[in-house]
Amino acid sequence: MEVLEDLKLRVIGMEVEKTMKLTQRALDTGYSAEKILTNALIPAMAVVGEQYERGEKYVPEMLLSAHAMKGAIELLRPLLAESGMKPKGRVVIGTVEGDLHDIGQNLVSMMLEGAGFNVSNLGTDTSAGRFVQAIKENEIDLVGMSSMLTTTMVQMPEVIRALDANGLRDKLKVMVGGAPVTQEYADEIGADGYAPNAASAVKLAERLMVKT
Amino acid sequence: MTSKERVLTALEHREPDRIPYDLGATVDTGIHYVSYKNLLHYMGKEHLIKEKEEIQFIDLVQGMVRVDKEIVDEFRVDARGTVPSHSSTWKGLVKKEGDDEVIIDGLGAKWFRPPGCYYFDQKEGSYPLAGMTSVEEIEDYDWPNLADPGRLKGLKEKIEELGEDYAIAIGGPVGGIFALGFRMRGYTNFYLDLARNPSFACSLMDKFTELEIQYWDAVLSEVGELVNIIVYEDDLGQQDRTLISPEMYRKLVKPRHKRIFSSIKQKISDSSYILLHSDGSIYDIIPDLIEIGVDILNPVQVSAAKMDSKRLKKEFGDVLAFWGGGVDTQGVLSFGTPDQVRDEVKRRIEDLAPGGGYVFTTIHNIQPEVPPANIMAMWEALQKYQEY
Repeated sequence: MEVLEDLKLRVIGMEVEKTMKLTQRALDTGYSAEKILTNALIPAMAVVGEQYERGEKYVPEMLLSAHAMKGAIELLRPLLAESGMKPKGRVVIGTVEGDLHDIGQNLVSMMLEGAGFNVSNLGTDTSAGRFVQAIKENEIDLVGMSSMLTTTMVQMPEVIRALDANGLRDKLKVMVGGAPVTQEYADEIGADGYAPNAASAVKLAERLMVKT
Repeated sequence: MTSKERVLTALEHREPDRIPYDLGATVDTGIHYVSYKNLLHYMGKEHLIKEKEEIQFIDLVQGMVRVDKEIVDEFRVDARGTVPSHSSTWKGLVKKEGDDEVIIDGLGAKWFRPPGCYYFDQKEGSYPLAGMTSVEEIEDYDWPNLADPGRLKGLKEKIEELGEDYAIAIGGPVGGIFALGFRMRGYTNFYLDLARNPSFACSLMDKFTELEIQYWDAVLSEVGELVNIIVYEDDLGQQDRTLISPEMYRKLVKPRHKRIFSSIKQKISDSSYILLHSDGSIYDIIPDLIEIGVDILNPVQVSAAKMDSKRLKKEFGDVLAFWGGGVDTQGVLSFGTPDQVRDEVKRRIEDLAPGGGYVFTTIHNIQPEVPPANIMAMWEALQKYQEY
């Protein structure tokens, strides 16, 4: 079987070691890092996302594929940097202030990377100030905010306000998610989009990139 | 009818005189110290307001207060509860690491409360088994004894103090065996274990099972005759589905849950029941839970997928009792108006109360931001629609 096709199937098949081996083999065969990413890894993760959304896979399976893909990307990263490949978009993501929950937004980060985005994950308990700082320091297209608690989701409009106050709001798109968050809430606070899970977050991010 | 009779009648799937009410009998049906303080102000009960250091908690991690007797009596709360005492190796209250306050839980996991946060939670550094890679290493960990005699100290007296007219609930010293996987290994690690190293995940859960059975054996030997509701806390759902596939649950977790519930059932009377607390959408495994001995479901998260109160009652209400579902806490109770709260309570009671099998309480704890006017609206609506 052709190595890129094989690699794609291994990622979907959650085979971590085989993914690393085949990534290396693809490089040795002469494929560019960019081609491996674009023709194998990204399509693989798109399939995984679809499987998750259809309910065929759950978080453990999606996470294991993402973990395999992450290993492959680590191998490719220096070469991608060299090649000057443009990411699909540049994202800053974090869990809002007062909230330590991170598995959801970690998954979103991984899925976005697997889709070709460049992601800077600020971690948890991220103040509006830290969001603003991370954005000011870089050319950012998308901000993602997560919260798991009704008590902390009210920080989301605070971040949006801070972006506005710093003249950053109309230079990027804001997407939100997390257990208590809804489309209605996203609309209410003036976010650009809401996604209920990591797989649909990728589709949302791609849609929002088209608009910028 | 005493409160106890009211609750037990409901749990026998018969209609008592009125719907029984719980506030604070379990650590997941209580109220946060911030919203409690606001409520006391609102009610003009300043004499009950305590300084932060003097507040008595039933759960430090979530910030759940022990509700004063004056309040539970006034609110006509029918279920009362307790938690195990501290282990004899308990090192005392909250420590500090950097700017964060830290609690070390019953199995050695760390919980942090950074400045300005309302709860303790886990993050990097929390997970004592994060570095564990093999089954052989499991026995290397210094496993605390969950059945440490300290756990039973004063327990009988605490329960007797609650009063024999009330239905009594008792919980465990740590979460359930599935939750413990996350809390001890870390969330990403344990999810990956389940997917790529299930025998390791199972061996870990076997260890947790062994420790928990020891706890329940000890506690039920001591106070089994005095308690009616065994509270088992194990989140199995996320907002839109189960945390793991139903197939994975049945293969890896269910046999262990079954061992624990069977062991508990052997030591309790026929007028005692197992309550499972599980957040999220667990509809797909409810038949499995019923099969292995779950009698009561809490909190009944109606905002999660397939967890609508009407549907759950229709499909499972003949064999499963519902302890919760009273008012949505992801939306209405926190952010709605008192009128919206009242409407919500009316609707949930209409869905869940007929035929008994229902104990009214909020869906999970009353969070810090819940306005006291909403709490009172909920309670007033309960009074209005409570009679059978």
